[in-house]
Amino acid sequence: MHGAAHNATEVIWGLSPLIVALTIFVLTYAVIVTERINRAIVALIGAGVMILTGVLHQNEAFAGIDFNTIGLLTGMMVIVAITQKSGVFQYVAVKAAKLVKADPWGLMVMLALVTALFSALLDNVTTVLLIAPVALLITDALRINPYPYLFAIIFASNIGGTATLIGDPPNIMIGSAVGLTFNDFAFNLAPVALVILALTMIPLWWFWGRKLSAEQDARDQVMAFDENEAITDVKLLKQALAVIALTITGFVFAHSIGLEPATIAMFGAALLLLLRAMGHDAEHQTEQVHKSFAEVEWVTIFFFVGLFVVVAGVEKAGALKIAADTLVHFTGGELALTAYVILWASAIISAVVDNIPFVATMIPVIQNLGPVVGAENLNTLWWSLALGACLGGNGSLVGASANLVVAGFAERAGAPIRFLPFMLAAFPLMLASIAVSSLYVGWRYL
Amino acid sequence: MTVRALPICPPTLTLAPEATVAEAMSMMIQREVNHIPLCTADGRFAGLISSNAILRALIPASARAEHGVENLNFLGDAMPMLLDHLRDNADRPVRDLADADVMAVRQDTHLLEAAHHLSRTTAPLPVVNEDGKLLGMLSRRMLLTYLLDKARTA
Repeated sequence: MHGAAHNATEVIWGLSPLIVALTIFVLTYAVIVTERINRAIVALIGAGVMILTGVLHQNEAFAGIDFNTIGLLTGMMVIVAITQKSGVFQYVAVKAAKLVKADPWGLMVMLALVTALFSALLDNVTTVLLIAPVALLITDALRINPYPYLFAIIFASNIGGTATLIGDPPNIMIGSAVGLTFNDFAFNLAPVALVILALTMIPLWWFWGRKLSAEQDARDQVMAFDENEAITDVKLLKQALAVIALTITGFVFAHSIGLEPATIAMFGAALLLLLRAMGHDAEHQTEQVHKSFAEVEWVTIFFFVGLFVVVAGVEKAGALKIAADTLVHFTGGELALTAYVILWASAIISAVVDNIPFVATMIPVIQNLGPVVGAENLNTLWWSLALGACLGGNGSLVGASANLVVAGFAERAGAPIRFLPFMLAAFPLMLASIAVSSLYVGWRYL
Repeated sequence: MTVRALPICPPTLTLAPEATVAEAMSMMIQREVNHIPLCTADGRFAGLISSNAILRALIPASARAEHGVENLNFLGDAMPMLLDHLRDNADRPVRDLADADVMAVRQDTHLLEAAHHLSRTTAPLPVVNEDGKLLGMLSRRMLLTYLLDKARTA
């Protein structure tokens, strides 16, 4: 449907579809940025208006919704919602803290590693929602300032999320729209994500790590934590870990057996629901399934649905073709310059606005560049977009949903993260990670 | 029937909002109460401090916050942490821990409404006049005694 023909006669009052679509698009995004109205509502209203004004038919709107992204996200959310009840995340965090003898700097490194690993395999929001409370608990017991740890967790979650297809929504969207596989992401983005994570620890050590110390009795207290007690349901733990292992194996081999990630994630979710339901009566099953579905973040899901339709509207109207032409005009269609512009612009834009709508818009723009830079070179641009959009999220507190989740929890627990001090440290650190990404893109693809 | 029908006595036990948490704790222990109303120098009601709120301040913040750690079994008894928090909180003014949005009723509040409020908390209900001055505390037992009396005489 790219560059689809305009159909001016359908738009109300004979207005230009380009103008109508762009107006809806700009208004939708403007209201999303103000955060005055819930973003899912705004996206759905924008989507509805696209159809009501005749820019899109309902069929075209439906075709614009990437159900692969929706299915993958929903499936993983169900799996994680069930798994977290087992206490496995607390177990891992406490185990990690004890492995480094509750040394404050060692703890920061371990929490960053654990967060990055979970963020790579699960969604970032869930990961930080589970790790941040345990981090606060351990720093509380150690009588040390939790802020550096929360900072490290935010960075690690966005860096870890960059590494895989399923780690961060931008990757899910890019992978799904372009047909890049789990392994493509793992081979192309995981190495650089690992390097960036390691390099990020250096300034964190310089800012905070080298000055942190905890008294021996406080460390003894953490060493006395019994991680086995964190596991509340051993049977559930086994079932959940088996399904997660199976699901991730599925992602690895999906492409070679002709399957899409949404099928794998949804099937994994259904399998775990089945395992939980077996041996229970109908009423208990209903309650359990209802609870699991209730924990899916429907706001995010409907936000995606609405956005996909809004983007489909501006795409049909030809606006994204114009955006792509402008980009080509600016870069002269030269691959290297285009890649760097996409990388840096994505990073800076994603630092201040949600990266999901940005990536949703950029995907068709980049697809339109195929004839200019050559279809075989498009992957370079996809990796640039993924790196910029995912890592850019570290630039400010509002850069990624995970950051807001950590900040929200920290505030409720009496250790608020301030917007400006965070950005003063985070933005330069984010730019450094983009500089590393530029070197990587240049070295590997250009 | 309104709250006016009940024998509300002037409060014998109050604390200034600036009093320390330690003072509140000793008063609760000595007088065997779980709730103490806070009153400003001119007698205005300024919140209610409860033993529950003090205990809540002693458990780790990451456990009491929404979406926090629900299971604390793995911490062991964590005595040093509890004592740390006790020391950290002892010198804070009680107003920091007091329930700020605690419901206060007027003398013209209907008994049904007072009963409704009381049924939804474990604390007694502060009764205040038009100027916000604390007239006394309305307890569950006070209300039940009154109702029982009414039922018998009816």
